[in-house]
Amino acid sequence: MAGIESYATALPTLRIPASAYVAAWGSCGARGMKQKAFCAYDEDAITLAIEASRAALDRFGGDVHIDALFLGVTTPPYDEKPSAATIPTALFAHADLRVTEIAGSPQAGVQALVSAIEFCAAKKGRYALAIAADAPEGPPDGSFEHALGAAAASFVVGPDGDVAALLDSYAVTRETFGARFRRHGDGAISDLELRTRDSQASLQALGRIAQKDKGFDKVKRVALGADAALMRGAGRALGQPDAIVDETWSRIGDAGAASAPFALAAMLDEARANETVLCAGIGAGATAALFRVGKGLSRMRRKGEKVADQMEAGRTVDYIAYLKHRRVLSSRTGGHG
Amino acid sequence: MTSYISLPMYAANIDERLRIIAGKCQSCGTLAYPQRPVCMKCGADKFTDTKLSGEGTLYTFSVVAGGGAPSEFDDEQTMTGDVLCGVVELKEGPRVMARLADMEPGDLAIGMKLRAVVRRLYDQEGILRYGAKFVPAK
Repeated sequence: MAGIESYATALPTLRIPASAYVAAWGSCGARGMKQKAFCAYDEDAITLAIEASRAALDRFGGDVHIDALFLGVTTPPYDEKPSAATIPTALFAHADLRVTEIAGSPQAGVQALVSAIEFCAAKKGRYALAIAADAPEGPPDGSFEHALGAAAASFVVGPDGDVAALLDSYAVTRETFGARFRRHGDGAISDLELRTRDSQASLQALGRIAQKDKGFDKVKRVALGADAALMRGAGRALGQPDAIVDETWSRIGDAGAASAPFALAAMLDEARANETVLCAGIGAGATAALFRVGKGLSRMRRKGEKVADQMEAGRTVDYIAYLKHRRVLSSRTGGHG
Repeated sequence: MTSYISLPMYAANIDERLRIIAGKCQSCGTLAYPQRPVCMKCGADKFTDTKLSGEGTLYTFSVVAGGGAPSEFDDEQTMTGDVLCGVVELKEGPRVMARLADMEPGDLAIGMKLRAVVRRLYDQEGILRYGAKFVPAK
Protein backbone atom coordinates (compact mmCIF):
# COMPACT_ATOMS: atom_id res chain seq x y z
CA MET A 1 0.00 0.00 0.00
CA ALA A 2 1.43 3.39 -0.97
CA GLY A 3 2.80 5.53 1.79
CA ILE A 4 5.89 6.81 3.55
CA GLU A 5 9.16 4.94 3.03
CA SER A 6 11.54 7.43 4.63
CA TYR A 7 11.30 10.71 6.52
CA ALA A 8 13.42 13.40 8.14
CA THR A 9 13.06 16.89 9.50
CA ALA A 10 15.08 20.08 9.65
CA LEU A 11 15.04 23.02 12.03
CA PRO A 12 16.97 26.25 11.93
CA THR A 13 19.75 26.54 14.51
CA LEU A 14 18.36 29.66 16.15
CA ARG A 15 15.87 29.64 19.03
CA ILE A 16 14.11 32.39 20.92
CA PRO A 17 12.46 31.62 24.26
CA ALA A 18 9.00 32.87 25.20
CA SER A 19 10.68 34.77 28.04
CA ALA A 20 12.35 37.04 25.46
CA TYR A 21 8.88 38.21 24.36
CA VAL A 22 7.88 38.76 27.98
CA ALA A 23 11.00 40.89 28.47
CA ALA A 24 10.35 42.88 25.28
CA TRP A 25 6.56 43.24 25.31
CA GLY A 26 5.50 42.41 28.86
CA SER A 27 3.85 39.16 27.79
CA CYS A 28 4.08 36.39 25.24
CA GLY A 29 1.08 35.90 23.01
CA ALA A 30 1.90 32.22 22.51
CA ARG A 31 0.62 30.74 25.76
CA GLY A 32 2.21 27.39 26.51
CA MET A 33 5.10 27.86 24.08
CA LYS A 34 8.52 27.48 25.70
CA GLN A 35 10.60 28.53 22.71
CA LYS A 36 10.46 28.63 18.94
CA ALA A 37 12.89 27.89 16.13
CA PHE A 38 13.29 30.60 13.51
CA CYS A 39 15.28 31.19 10.34
CA ALA A 40 18.68 32.83 10.45
CA TYR A 41 19.31 35.64 7.96
CA ASP A 42 20.47 33.14 5.32
CA GLU A 43 17.72 30.56 5.77
CA ASP A 44 14.21 30.24 4.38
CA ALA A 45 11.62 27.58 3.64
CA ILE A 46 13.62 26.41 0.62
CA THR A 47 16.91 25.91 2.45
CA LEU A 48 15.08 24.03 5.21
CA ALA A 49 13.31 21.90 2.58
CA ILE A 50 16.65 20.95 1.04
CA GLU A 51 18.16 20.09 4.43
CA ALA A 52 15.24 17.86 5.43
CA SER A 53 15.09 16.20 2.02
CA ARG A 54 18.79 15.38 1.94
CA ALA A 55 18.39 13.67 5.31
CA ALA A 56 15.27 11.78 4.18
CA LEU A 57 17.02 10.57 1.01
CA ASP A 58 20.13 9.57 3.00
CA ARG A 59 17.92 7.56 5.34
CA PHE A 60 16.24 5.87 2.40
CA GLY A 61 19.65 4.88 1.05
CA GLY A 62 20.74 4.06 -2.46
CA ASP A 63 20.05 6.00 -5.58
CA VAL A 64 16.30 6.46 -5.76
CA HIS A 65 14.80 8.10 -8.83
CA ILE A 66 12.23 10.61 -7.63
CA ASP A 67 9.46 11.09 -10.19
CA ALA A 68 7.64 13.96 -8.52
CA LEU A 69 8.15 16.53 -5.83
CA PHE A 70 5.27 18.11 -3.93
CA LEU A 71 6.12 21.11 -1.76
CA GLY A 72 3.66 22.48 0.78
CA VAL A 73 4.70 26.00 1.75
CA THR A 74 2.97 29.28 2.52
CA THR A 75 6.17 31.33 2.34
CA PRO A 76 7.83 30.58 -0.99
CA PRO A 77 10.40 33.27 -1.79
CA TYR A 78 8.82 33.92 -5.18
CA ASP A 79 5.19 34.40 -6.16
CA GLU A 80 6.15 33.63 -9.76
CA LYS A 81 9.16 31.48 -10.73
CA PRO A 82 8.86 28.10 -9.06
CA SER A 83 10.54 28.41 -5.69
CA ALA A 84 10.48 24.63 -5.44
CA ALA A 85 12.68 24.31 -8.56
CA THR A 86 15.70 25.08 -6.39
CA ILE A 87 15.08 21.89 -4.40
CA PRO A 88 15.61 19.29 -7.15
CA THR A 89 18.53 21.35 -8.45
CA ALA A 90 20.14 20.88 -5.05
CA LEU A 91 19.20 17.20 -4.78
CA PHE A 92 19.20 15.46 -8.12
CA ALA A 93 21.09 15.21 -11.39
CA HIS A 94 17.85 14.48 -13.26
CA ALA A 95 15.23 17.03 -14.21
CA ASP A 96 12.49 14.70 -15.49
CA LEU A 97 10.20 15.09 -12.54
CA ARG A 98 6.93 16.82 -11.78
CA VAL A 99 7.30 19.68 -9.31
CA THR A 100 4.16 21.01 -7.66
CA GLU A 101 3.89 23.81 -5.11
CA ILE A 102 0.89 23.85 -2.82
CA ALA A 103 0.24 26.97 -0.77
CA GLY A 104 -2.63 29.01 0.65
CA SER A 105 -2.99 27.74 4.21
CA PRO A 106 -1.27 25.68 6.91
CA GLN A 107 -2.98 22.66 5.31
CA ALA A 108 -0.47 22.85 2.44
CA GLY A 109 2.07 20.49 4.01
CA VAL A 110 -0.41 17.67 4.56
CA GLN A 111 -1.93 18.35 1.14
CA ALA A 112 1.54 17.86 -0.37
CA LEU A 113 1.99 14.60 1.52
CA VAL A 114 -1.40 13.23 0.45
CA SER A 115 -0.84 14.36 -3.15
CA ALA A 116 2.54 12.66 -3.32
CA ILE A 117 1.16 9.38 -1.99
CA GLU A 118 -1.81 9.54 -4.36
CA PHE A 119 0.65 10.17 -7.22
CA CYS A 120 2.43 6.93 -6.35
CA ALA A 121 -0.80 5.02 -5.70
CA ALA A 122 -2.01 6.04 -9.16
CA LYS A 123 1.26 4.65 -10.54
CA LYS A 124 2.18 7.93 -12.19
CA GLY A 125 5.66 7.26 -10.90
CA ARG A 126 7.31 4.92 -8.41
CA TYR A 127 8.73 7.38 -5.88
CA ALA A 128 7.88 10.94 -4.93
CA LEU A 129 9.16 13.42 -2.43
CA ALA A 130 6.65 15.22 -0.22
CA ILE A 131 8.07 18.25 1.53
CA ALA A 132 6.45 20.57 4.03
CA ALA A 133 8.59 23.61 4.76
CA ASP A 134 7.57 26.97 6.09
CA ALA A 135 8.69 30.08 7.93
CA PRO A 136 5.58 32.23 8.43
CA GLU A 137 6.08 35.84 9.40
CA GLY A 138 3.84 38.33 11.10
CA PRO A 139 4.14 41.99 12.02
CA PRO A 140 6.34 42.46 15.10
CA ASP A 141 3.56 44.31 16.93
CA GLY A 142 1.01 41.52 16.45
CA SER A 143 0.72 39.14 19.40
CA PHE A 144 0.04 36.25 17.02
CA GLU A 145 3.56 36.81 15.65
CA HIS A 146 5.04 35.53 18.90
CA ALA A 147 4.33 31.93 17.94
CA LEU A 148 5.51 32.03 14.33
CA GLY A 149 8.53 29.77 13.80
CA ALA A 150 10.07 27.67 11.07
CA ALA A 151 10.59 23.99 10.29
CA ALA A 152 10.60 21.42 7.52
CA ALA A 153 9.72 17.77 7.14
CA SER A 154 10.43 15.64 4.10
CA PHE A 155 9.04 12.22 3.18
CA VAL A 156 10.12 9.77 0.52
CA VAL A 157 6.88 8.11 -0.51
CA GLY A 158 6.52 5.05 -2.63
CA PRO A 159 4.41 2.03 -3.53
CA ASP A 160 5.20 -0.07 -0.44
CA GLY A 161 4.68 2.46 2.35
CA ASP A 162 6.61 0.22 4.72
CA VAL A 163 7.22 3.01 7.23
CA ALA A 164 3.62 4.25 7.27
CA ALA A 165 0.94 3.30 4.76
CA LEU A 166 -1.82 5.73 3.90
CA LEU A 167 -5.15 4.22 4.94
CA ASP A 168 -7.35 7.16 4.05
CA SER A 169 -7.48 10.93 3.81
CA TYR A 170 -10.13 13.44 4.85
CA ALA A 171 -10.67 17.08 4.10
CA VAL A 172 -13.01 19.86 5.03
CA THR A 173 -13.02 23.34 3.57
CA ARG A 174 -14.27 26.38 5.42
CA GLU A 175 -14.12 29.96 4.30
CA THR A 176 -12.78 32.11 7.10
CA PHE A 177 -12.77 35.85 7.54
CA GLY A 178 -10.20 37.74 9.55
CA ALA A 179 -8.15 34.80 10.77
CA ARG A 180 -4.67 34.24 9.36
CA PHE A 181 -4.70 35.77 5.90
CA ARG A 182 -2.19 37.45 3.62
CA ARG A 183 -3.04 39.49 0.57
CA HIS A 184 -1.10 38.98 -2.66
CA GLY A 185 2.30 40.68 -2.39
CA ASP A 186 2.26 40.99 1.38
CA GLY A 187 5.11 39.43 3.30
CA ALA A 188 3.51 39.14 6.70
CA ILE A 189 0.41 37.31 7.84
CA SER A 190 -2.49 39.39 9.11
CA ASP A 191 -4.90 38.27 11.76
CA LEU A 192 -7.70 40.46 13.04
CA GLU A 193 -7.71 38.42 16.26
CA LEU A 194 -11.49 38.19 16.28
CA ARG A 195 -11.30 35.01 18.37
CA THR A 196 -13.71 33.22 16.07
CA ARG A 197 -12.11 29.86 16.98
CA ASP A 198 -11.85 28.89 13.31
CA SER A 199 -9.23 26.23 13.94
CA GLN A 200 -11.39 24.53 16.58
CA ALA A 201 -14.35 24.60 14.18
CA SER A 202 -12.21 23.11 11.40
CA LEU A 203 -10.99 20.34 13.66
CA GLN A 204 -14.51 19.52 14.83
CA ALA A 205 -15.76 19.45 11.22
CA LEU A 206 -12.89 17.15 10.32
CA GLY A 207 -13.76 14.89 13.25
CA ARG A 208 -17.39 14.60 12.10
CA ILE A 209 -16.29 13.56 8.62
CA ALA A 210 -13.57 11.16 9.73
CA GLN A 211 -15.74 9.39 12.31
CA LYS A 212 -18.00 8.17 9.52
CA ASP A 213 -15.04 6.07 8.34
CA LYS A 214 -14.93 2.61 9.97
CA GLY A 215 -11.13 2.61 9.89
CA PHE A 216 -11.03 5.69 12.04
CA ASP A 217 -12.16 4.09 15.28
CA LYS A 218 -8.79 3.40 16.90
CA VAL A 219 -6.43 6.27 16.27
CA LYS A 220 -3.47 5.93 18.60
CA ARG A 221 -1.68 9.18 17.80
CA VAL A 222 -2.66 12.56 16.42
CA ALA A 223 -0.04 14.82 14.80
CA LEU A 224 -1.24 18.39 14.50
CA GLY A 225 1.62 20.70 15.45
CA ALA A 226 -1.17 22.70 17.02
CA ASP A 227 -0.97 25.39 19.68
CA ALA A 228 -1.72 24.53 23.30
CA ALA A 229 -5.38 25.53 23.16
CA LEU A 230 -6.18 23.57 20.01
CA MET A 231 -4.16 20.60 21.18
CA ARG A 232 -6.08 20.31 24.46
CA GLY A 233 -9.41 19.79 22.74
CA ALA A 234 -8.12 17.84 19.74
CA GLY A 235 -8.73 14.31 20.96
CA ARG A 236 -12.33 15.09 21.96
CA ALA A 237 -13.02 17.02 18.74
CA LEU A 238 -11.87 14.06 16.70
CA GLY A 239 -13.80 11.55 18.77
CA GLN A 240 -10.51 10.06 19.95
CA PRO A 241 -10.21 11.22 23.58
CA ASP A 242 -7.49 8.68 24.40
CA ALA A 243 -5.25 9.50 21.45
CA ILE A 244 -1.77 10.84 22.13
CA VAL A 245 -1.50 14.35 20.68
CA ASP A 246 1.92 15.77 19.79
CA GLU A 247 3.49 18.62 21.76
CA THR A 248 5.92 19.91 19.14
CA TRP A 249 4.37 23.40 19.02
CA SER A 250 5.62 24.23 22.51
CA ARG A 251 9.22 23.57 21.37
CA ILE A 252 9.39 24.99 17.86
CA GLY A 253 6.39 27.32 17.55
CA ASP A 254 3.94 27.58 14.68
CA ALA A 255 5.72 26.43 11.53
CA GLY A 256 2.73 26.99 9.27
CA ALA A 257 2.42 24.33 6.58
CA ALA A 258 5.28 22.37 8.16
CA SER A 259 3.69 22.09 11.61
CA ALA A 260 1.60 18.95 11.16
CA PRO A 261 4.08 17.00 8.97
CA PHE A 262 6.87 17.88 11.41
CA ALA A 263 4.68 16.57 14.23
CA LEU A 264 4.04 13.42 12.19
CA ALA A 265 7.79 12.84 11.94
CA ALA A 266 8.08 13.31 15.71
CA MET A 267 5.26 10.75 16.19
CA LEU A 268 6.96 8.28 13.84
CA ASP A 269 10.07 8.51 16.01
CA GLU A 270 7.98 7.09 18.88
CA ALA A 271 5.36 4.90 17.20
CA ARG A 272 5.21 1.12 17.01
CA ALA A 273 4.22 -1.13 14.15
CA ASN A 274 0.47 -1.36 13.45
CA GLU A 275 -0.39 1.82 15.35
CA THR A 276 -2.57 4.30 13.51
CA VAL A 277 -1.46 7.91 13.28
CA LEU A 278 -3.60 10.79 12.07
CA CYS A 279 -1.78 13.81 10.65
CA ALA A 280 -3.97 16.88 10.20
CA GLY A 281 -3.10 20.31 8.88
CA ILE A 282 -5.53 22.87 10.25
CA GLY A 283 -6.30 26.34 8.90
CA ALA A 284 -9.30 27.57 6.91
CA GLY A 285 -10.45 23.98 6.95
CA ALA A 286 -8.43 20.86 7.44
CA THR A 287 -6.69 18.13 5.49
CA ALA A 288 -5.84 14.90 7.25
CA ALA A 289 -4.08 11.66 6.43
CA LEU A 290 -4.55 8.45 8.38
CA PHE A 291 -1.55 6.13 8.42
CA ARG A 292 -0.84 2.66 9.69
CA VAL A 293 2.72 2.31 10.92
CA GLY A 294 4.63 -0.45 9.15
CA LYS A 295 7.44 -2.81 10.03
CA GLY A 296 9.92 -0.70 8.10
CA LEU A 297 9.76 2.05 10.68
CA SER A 298 12.09 0.48 13.25
CA ARG A 299 14.73 -0.10 10.56
CA MET A 300 14.37 3.47 9.36
CA ARG A 301 14.76 4.88 12.86
CA ARG A 302 18.21 3.31 13.30
CA LYS A 303 19.61 5.91 10.92
CA GLY A 304 19.60 9.67 11.13
CA GLU A 305 18.79 12.26 13.71
CA LYS A 306 15.81 12.09 16.09
CA VAL A 307 13.27 14.89 15.93
CA ALA A 308 13.46 15.29 19.72
CA ASP A 309 17.22 15.83 19.49
CA GLN A 310 16.75 18.49 16.80
CA MET A 311 14.24 20.31 19.00
CA GLU A 312 16.60 20.10 21.96
CA ALA A 313 19.59 21.48 20.02
CA GLY A 314 20.00 25.03 18.78
CA ARG A 315 21.40 28.36 19.87
CA THR A 316 19.28 30.78 21.88
CA VAL A 317 19.42 34.46 20.98
CA ASP A 318 17.76 37.57 22.36
CA TYR A 319 14.87 39.52 20.89
CA ILE A 320 17.00 42.14 19.12
CA ALA A 321 19.06 39.45 17.39
CA TYR A 322 15.77 37.80 16.40
CA LEU A 323 14.51 41.01 14.79
CA LYS A 324 17.81 41.47 12.95
CA HIS A 325 17.85 37.96 11.54
CA ARG A 326 14.28 38.45 10.41
CA ARG A 327 15.36 41.73 8.72
CA VAL A 328 12.70 43.63 10.67
CA LEU A 329 15.29 46.26 11.60
CA SER A 330 16.72 46.52 8.08
CA SER A 331 15.97 49.73 6.18
CA ARG A 332 17.06 48.01 2.95
CA THR A 333 14.50 45.26 3.04
CA GLY A 334 11.70 47.08 4.84
CA GLY A 335 11.27 44.26 7.29
CA HIS A 336 10.84 41.41 4.80
CA GLY A 337 13.31 39.09 3.18
CA MET B 1 33.89 46.46 -3.03
CA THR B 2 31.89 43.80 -4.78
CA SER B 3 32.39 40.27 -6.02
CA TYR B 4 29.67 40.53 -8.64
CA ILE B 5 28.77 37.33 -10.47
CA SER B 6 26.44 37.81 -13.41
CA LEU B 7 23.21 35.84 -13.39
CA PRO B 8 24.11 33.91 -16.58
CA MET B 9 27.39 32.87 -14.94
CA TYR B 10 25.60 31.95 -11.74
CA ALA B 11 23.01 29.94 -13.68
CA ALA B 12 25.67 28.16 -15.73
CA ASN B 13 27.11 26.40 -12.70
CA ILE B 14 24.15 26.26 -10.32
CA ASP B 15 24.23 22.43 -10.18
CA GLU B 16 27.91 22.49 -9.32
CA ARG B 17 27.27 25.05 -6.59
CA LEU B 18 24.29 23.40 -4.92
CA ARG B 19 25.28 19.74 -5.23
CA ILE B 20 29.07 20.15 -4.84
CA ILE B 21 30.05 18.66 -8.18
CA ALA B 22 33.74 18.68 -8.95
CA GLY B 23 35.44 18.22 -12.30
CA LYS B 24 37.64 15.14 -12.45
CA CYS B 25 40.47 15.53 -14.93
CA GLN B 26 40.13 12.84 -17.60
CA SER B 27 43.89 12.84 -18.03
CA CYS B 28 45.32 12.68 -14.49
CA GLY B 29 42.28 12.23 -12.22
CA THR B 30 42.79 15.44 -10.24
CA LEU B 31 39.60 16.85 -8.78
CA ALA B 32 38.84 20.53 -9.21
CA TYR B 33 36.21 22.29 -7.12
CA PRO B 34 35.13 24.88 -8.02
CA GLN B 35 35.47 23.55 -11.54
CA ARG B 36 38.05 25.14 -13.81
CA PRO B 37 38.57 25.10 -17.58
CA VAL B 38 42.11 23.70 -17.28
CA CYS B 39 43.54 21.10 -14.87
CA MET B 40 45.84 22.73 -12.33
CA LYS B 41 48.08 19.67 -12.27
CA CYS B 42 48.47 18.54 -15.88
CA GLY B 43 46.93 21.28 -18.00
CA ALA B 44 44.36 19.00 -19.65
CA ASP B 45 40.97 20.50 -20.45
CA LYS B 46 38.56 17.56 -20.29
CA PHE B 47 36.72 16.77 -17.08
CA THR B 48 34.05 14.39 -15.81
CA ASP B 49 31.45 15.65 -13.36
CA THR B 50 32.01 14.00 -9.98
CA LYS B 51 29.71 14.54 -7.02
CA LEU B 52 31.53 15.17 -3.76
CA SER B 53 30.31 14.33 -0.27
CA GLY B 54 30.21 17.92 0.95
CA GLU B 55 32.16 16.83 4.04
CA GLY B 56 35.45 18.41 4.97
CA THR B 57 37.56 20.13 7.58
CA LEU B 58 38.36 23.77 8.20
CA TYR B 59 41.80 24.43 6.70
CA THR B 60 41.95 28.10 7.61
CA PHE B 61 39.53 30.93 8.26
CA SER B 62 39.04 34.65 8.40
CA VAL B 63 36.56 36.83 10.28
CA VAL B 64 35.49 39.86 8.25
CA ALA B 65 34.64 42.57 10.74
CA GLY B 66 32.08 45.33 10.28
CA GLY B 67 32.19 47.15 6.94
CA GLY B 68 34.78 44.82 5.43
CA ALA B 69 32.53 42.52 3.44
CA PRO B 70 31.64 42.98 -0.24
CA SER B 71 28.60 45.16 -0.84
CA GLU B 72 26.21 42.28 -1.51
CA PHE B 73 26.72 41.24 2.11
CA ASP B 74 26.23 44.76 3.54
CA ASP B 75 22.76 44.21 4.92
CA GLU B 76 23.57 40.76 6.28
CA GLN B 77 26.63 42.11 8.05
CA THR B 78 24.68 45.02 9.51
CA MET B 79 22.02 42.64 10.79
CA THR B 80 24.13 39.72 11.98
CA GLY B 81 27.66 41.00 12.64
CA ASP B 82 30.91 39.38 11.59
CA VAL B 83 31.05 37.51 8.30
CA LEU B 84 32.86 34.19 8.66
CA CYS B 85 34.85 32.83 5.72
CA GLY B 86 37.13 29.86 5.43
CA VAL B 87 39.05 27.50 3.24
CA VAL B 88 37.52 24.05 3.58
CA GLU B 89 39.52 20.99 2.72
CA LEU B 90 36.99 18.59 1.28
CA LYS B 91 37.22 14.90 2.14
CA GLU B 92 38.00 14.08 -1.49
CA GLY B 93 40.90 16.55 -1.60
CA PRO B 94 39.99 19.90 -3.15
CA ARG B 95 40.15 23.01 -1.03
CA VAL B 96 37.38 25.52 -1.49
CA MET B 97 36.88 29.04 -0.19
CA ALA B 98 33.43 29.37 1.31
CA ARG B 99 31.19 31.14 3.76
CA LEU B 100 30.77 29.52 7.17
CA ALA B 101 27.43 29.57 8.97
CA ASP B 102 25.73 28.68 12.27
CA MET B 103 28.86 29.66 14.17
CA GLU B 104 30.31 32.54 16.15
CA PRO B 105 33.94 33.58 15.63
CA GLY B 106 34.89 31.89 18.90
CA ASP B 107 33.58 28.56 17.61
CA LEU B 108 36.06 28.43 14.72
CA ALA B 109 38.94 25.99 15.02
CA ILE B 110 41.27 24.78 12.32
CA GLY B 111 40.61 21.10 11.67
CA MET B 112 36.99 21.19 12.80
CA LYS B 113 34.67 18.96 10.82
CA LEU B 114 32.24 20.72 8.53
CA ARG B 115 29.47 19.83 6.11
CA ALA B 116 28.02 21.70 3.18
CA VAL B 117 24.47 23.05 3.31
CA VAL B 118 22.47 25.19 0.91
CA ARG B 119 21.83 28.71 2.14
CA ARG B 120 20.99 32.10 0.73
CA LEU B 121 24.29 33.72 -0.21
CA TYR B 122 22.84 37.10 -1.07
CA ASP B 123 19.95 38.84 -2.77
CA GLN B 124 20.86 40.88 -5.85
CA GLU B 125 18.90 42.20 -8.84
CA GLY B 126 15.76 40.78 -7.26
CA ILE B 127 17.15 37.27 -7.46
CA LEU B 128 18.07 35.14 -4.47
CA ARG B 129 21.48 33.57 -4.93
CA TYR B 130 21.53 30.21 -3.18
CA GLY B 131 24.80 28.41 -2.73
CA ALA B 132 26.87 26.20 -0.47
CA LYS B 133 27.96 27.28 2.97
CA PHE B 134 29.67 25.12 5.53
CA VAL B 135 28.34 24.44 9.02
CA PRO B 136 29.63 22.21 11.84
CA ALA B 137 29.25 18.50 11.06
CA LYS B 138 26.65 16.64 13.12
